Amino acid sequence: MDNPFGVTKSDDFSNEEIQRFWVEPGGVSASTLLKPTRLMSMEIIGGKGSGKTHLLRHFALAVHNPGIGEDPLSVFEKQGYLGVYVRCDSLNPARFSGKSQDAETWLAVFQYFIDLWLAQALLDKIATTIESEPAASESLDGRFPKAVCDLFDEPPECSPTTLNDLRDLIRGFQREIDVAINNLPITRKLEIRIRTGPSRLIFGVPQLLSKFSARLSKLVVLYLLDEMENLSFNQQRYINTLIRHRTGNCSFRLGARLYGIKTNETIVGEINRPGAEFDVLELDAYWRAKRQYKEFCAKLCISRLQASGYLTETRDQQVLEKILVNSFEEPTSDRFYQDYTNSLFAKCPPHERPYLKRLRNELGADWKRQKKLGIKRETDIDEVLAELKSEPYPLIEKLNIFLLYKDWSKHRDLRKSAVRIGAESRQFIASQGTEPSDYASAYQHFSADMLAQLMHDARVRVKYSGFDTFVRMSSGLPRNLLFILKNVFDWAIFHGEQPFKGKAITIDTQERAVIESSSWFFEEARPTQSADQIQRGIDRLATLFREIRYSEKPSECSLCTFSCPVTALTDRTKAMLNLAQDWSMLIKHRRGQKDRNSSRVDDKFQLSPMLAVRWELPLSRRGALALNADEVNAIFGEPDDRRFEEIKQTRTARMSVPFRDAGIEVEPALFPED
Amino acid sequence: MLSLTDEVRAKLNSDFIEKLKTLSLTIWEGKANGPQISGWLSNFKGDVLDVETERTYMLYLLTRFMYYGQREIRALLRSIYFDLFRYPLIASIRRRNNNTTDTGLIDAEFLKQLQATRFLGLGGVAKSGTMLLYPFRKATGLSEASFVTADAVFAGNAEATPPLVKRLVFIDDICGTGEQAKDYDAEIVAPIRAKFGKSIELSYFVMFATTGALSALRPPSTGFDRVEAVHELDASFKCFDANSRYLPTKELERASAHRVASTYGLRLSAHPLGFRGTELLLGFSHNVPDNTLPIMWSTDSQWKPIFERF
Amino acid sequence: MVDYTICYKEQLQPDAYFAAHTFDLFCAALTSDDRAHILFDKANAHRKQWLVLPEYKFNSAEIPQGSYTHDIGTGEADYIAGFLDAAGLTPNSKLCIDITGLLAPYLLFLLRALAAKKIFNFEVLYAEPGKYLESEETKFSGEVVREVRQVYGFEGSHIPDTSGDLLVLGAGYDHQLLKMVAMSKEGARVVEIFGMPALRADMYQENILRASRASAALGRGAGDHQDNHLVPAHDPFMTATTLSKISESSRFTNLYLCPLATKPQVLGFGIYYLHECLNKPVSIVYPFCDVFPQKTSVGIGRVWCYSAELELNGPVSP
Repeated sequence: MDNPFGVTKSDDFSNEEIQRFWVEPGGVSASTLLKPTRLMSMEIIGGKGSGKTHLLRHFALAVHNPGIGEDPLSVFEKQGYLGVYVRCDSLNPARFSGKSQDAETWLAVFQYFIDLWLAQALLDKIATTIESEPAASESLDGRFPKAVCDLFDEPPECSPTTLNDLRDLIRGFQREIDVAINNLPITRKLEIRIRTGPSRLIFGVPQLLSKFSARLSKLVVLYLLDEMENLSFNQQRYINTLIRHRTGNCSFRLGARLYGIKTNETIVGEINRPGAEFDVLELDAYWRAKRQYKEFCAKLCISRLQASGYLTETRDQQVLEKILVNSFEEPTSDRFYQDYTNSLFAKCPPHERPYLKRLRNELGADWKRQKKLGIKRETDIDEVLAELKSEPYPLIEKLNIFLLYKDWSKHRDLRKSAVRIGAESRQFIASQGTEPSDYASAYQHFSADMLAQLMHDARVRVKYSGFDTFVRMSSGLPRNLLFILKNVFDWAIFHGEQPFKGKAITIDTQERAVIESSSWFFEEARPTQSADQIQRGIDRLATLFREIRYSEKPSECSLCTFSCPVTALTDRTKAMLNLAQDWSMLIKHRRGQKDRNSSRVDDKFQLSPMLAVRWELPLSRRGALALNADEVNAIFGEPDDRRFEEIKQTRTARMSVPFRDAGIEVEPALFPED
Repeated sequence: MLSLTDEVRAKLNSDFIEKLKTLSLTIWEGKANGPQISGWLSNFKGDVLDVETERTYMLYLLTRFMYYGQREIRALLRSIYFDLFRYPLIASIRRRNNNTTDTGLIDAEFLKQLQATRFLGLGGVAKSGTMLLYPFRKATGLSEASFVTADAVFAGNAEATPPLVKRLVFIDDICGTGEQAKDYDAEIVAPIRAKFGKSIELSYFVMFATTGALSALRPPSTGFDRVEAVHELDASFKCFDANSRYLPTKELERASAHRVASTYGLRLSAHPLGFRGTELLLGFSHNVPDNTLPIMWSTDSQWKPIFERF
Repeated sequence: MVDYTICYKEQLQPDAYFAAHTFDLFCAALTSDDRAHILFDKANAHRKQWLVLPEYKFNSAEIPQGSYTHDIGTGEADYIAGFLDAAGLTPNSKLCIDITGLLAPYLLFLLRALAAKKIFNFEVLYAEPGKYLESEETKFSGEVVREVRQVYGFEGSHIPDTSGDLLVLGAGYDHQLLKMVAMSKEGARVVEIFGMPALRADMYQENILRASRASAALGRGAGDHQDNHLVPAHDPFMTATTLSKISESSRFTNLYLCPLATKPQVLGFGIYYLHECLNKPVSIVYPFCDVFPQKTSVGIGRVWCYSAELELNGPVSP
């Protein structure tokens, strides 16, 4: 059985499939994002799986189909640009280095090579565009090839008269370079004749195209260079030079990973600036900011499923989205997750639920200390527990105990606290959670954490299920979503289920898939350098979040984010943070976090939801843990765990009975950010 | 005995299930899916160790089971043809002709050798060796004329005997103990020798054979001229051997696994650890040999197998 | 089409083999594996020389006298060129190379360099391990990849149209390396070659399990097994034949090859490339690591002898 999500990379799609699976990003046309006829160049930055390649490839193809009676050229005339898609890794740029030749020689060779490369790509594109148009073909024979040859320093030995001959000629020049480089280790000399000056072909051919072809005269030639991170520092300087000194009717769209752009410097040291020489589109940040991302994801999945023969009952998009969502079983949140939470403790009597037993033991552990909190005898403990219990609703019990811990940390009279909390909880239940109150606010903020703690108390792993959850996990990278769903489908088949054929995919199946996907992300998001250090840093951070989340009195709700003053960090720590962002293990948030004690705005970083699953952390951010520079250095910069363990111990001591060294409390954010 | 904590056992089970999922969805041809594994594990009821530990051990053994599907069997059969049959003949032709690289000459000489060769399965019709002949023919592209039956040889059929035929090649899937092949040595090879002497070369090529079986079959122990296996299974492939490649692992002991397999195996077969104690973890898409632990394939006493033996 | 399968491929008994053959030069890459030393000791040659590859990080006390060493960081081409300059081989030299410990880029460039010197025929030996040190957990590389690049001398003349690029991966145990290579050629469709029969009966399945951990990077799902090619792990000539068939039957714009499994497989890739791919849009790429473990196995298993014949269809152009 074919997996409808089996292909996760857009590179595995043919051109036809790129168009078929194209979905307009979040209600905005792709042209609005990429501005293909704008002559100012643009950098499109995005993590792996952000859809960057899909977007760039889309612009290399005709956006519309010709209408009846229209020829293919008219499509390009209407759209106003001709996209030429090139992957930088196809240049195999690493070969322009070493082999006993100096950097200057290689730069000259690389400039010449990439000029020939882009000229070929453009000529190939022109040829395929006009091949069905004899008139257009004829207009480009004769004078056009001759004019292109004039861009070379010397006329070639055989003058091409047709477009195809011209392509062969340039291909021949390129082959000379390839053979010379490949033979260099054998012959030990590099003999390459550079036949034209830098950029003459890149700018010259588009200009000649518009001069000699009436139908293509108004087009912008859009060089779409993908995977810029594969170019070296010097090679990127040449591209920057092209951008800065761009002339004529062409423009550049550069696709790169986060931190894939190594420099904005040109060959002579000028600096290109965003907004001046080029625009920047940060694609995954764009996705994450867009409320339509979920809708986009739904459309993407539906189109895949329909292409594989599923969901063929209707064309109504809203109905389809509902069917999609209902294809995944989720625990019902009705009545404060009553059914699910009771099933967790089905095998133990209500009064022996682990968290109640633990509280009893804690209250009775040190009478001398507890006296100060109003607990003097065993019957006091009984009374406290009686107030906090809510037998049908373990989640309410858990929240009650959390609120008691909060009062405990403030040294309040726990009997009075219990009475108050009990009353508030009963009121909350009676109103079915609809009446606003402090208790309702606490439930809103901490119920997810308390639910996770209940699962731990029941010794089961936290469950992540449902389409919404998967969308959140993907965090702006559509490929992540497809990968999760691919795994869900595989596990469903393995479990003997029939996914997308009526019965919902079980929570157990989804859980397996989520764990596997998260492991993959942790292992694959593994930069070539510093892989171990990054993973260690992420592991420490996530462990700290986890210990806080599962403590008796977590200081923040829904904790998966931290803030810190980046300028005070060591260079090594900063480099680690950059790498972690580059590989989408950490997500930096635009707005930052205002420090409570000063007017400083600190940088804020969220642990990728794909990784959060591995440590059973929340996917949505609310509270942020304010860390100082010393703490962040210990997490990301230190080779051994000693300092980190000290910090963890200090932090979590405040959150566990008897809540020593309470220090400064950080209140949870009152309003969720998404 | 090393005891497994709940945490360790949960981690192991999770890892094992993940491996089994990958195998089931790829080279195991959809066999041993989740529900089938659950059904098989339910056989183990804690009669030897606690039930959860038993099942963890058995899950581990299952991850080490070597299942060969149709594609893999074709690859093994191709290897029988190329590695065991063709390469040596080509080498001999080239050496006789001054190491020539003239493919015209080489192909012509090889064709002569091929035309003087017949392939047949070891055993009668519907025995696994004979059943392999069709996939062998498909995998190698040989014509039907290259295949005969043992009966045709005994009958003195001109197409199956000298002087036309100079070489008989017997094909088989597994030789675990050599007993079956020894039987055929007596029933088939010896009579052929008696009739044709050394004018016919007799080869036995098998996909898998244990070291012991190979040495029991190789000349001069039997009348075969050549006995070769694509994969020789040494003692390390015996599940519970002292040199077993399967056990112990960091968490799992050999002795405990042995006890579980033996105890349940005894209820299923007179050979609780596979025929004559071969202790293999091996199966094919067309069958599971009885050299494999019976806990994997038995259907006796309402046992739920994980792989079927026909 | 070249028929690589006419080449000699035989399992040998080292004592009998070396009793019958005397070489001008026998060379092998120095490792701590028993199998390399057993063959080296038994080899019968006027000159025997260890090649000390920098990636194995032997210190000077561990290097036998007379070994060939070279400065670190200059790459496979300089190393091999230096070795051949010093070796003084001619087309008539009787040469035997044990490739057991010879890292892929060095092996490949050695083939190219020998062909350039018109040394087209020589013997190649490969010794299977008795047993891997940690079974399927054995590490065969340092796993930290410095870069993925074309092997020197195997850099093709590619074209800008990447819409039909194809990456043929010889899948080995190291799924991290598989991933790194696949990620370096993100635009390419991937086809894998698996060793089947493998060197040992249980290794094929383990290989599949390992490779599945790279499936995300390969862009394929678990059910795509039908696209894989099964080629005996010990047979360079069937490997070359399979590559030739893949290339003939697949329409591709650019072809990238990467042998990550056994040394015989690497040999097969090299032989195929030299016969059919020079100056075409075909390259061999490889993930370069700085460190390789000195020891991966104990004992010695089967020993194979292959005839390297580098002009089966006429001289290979230098």
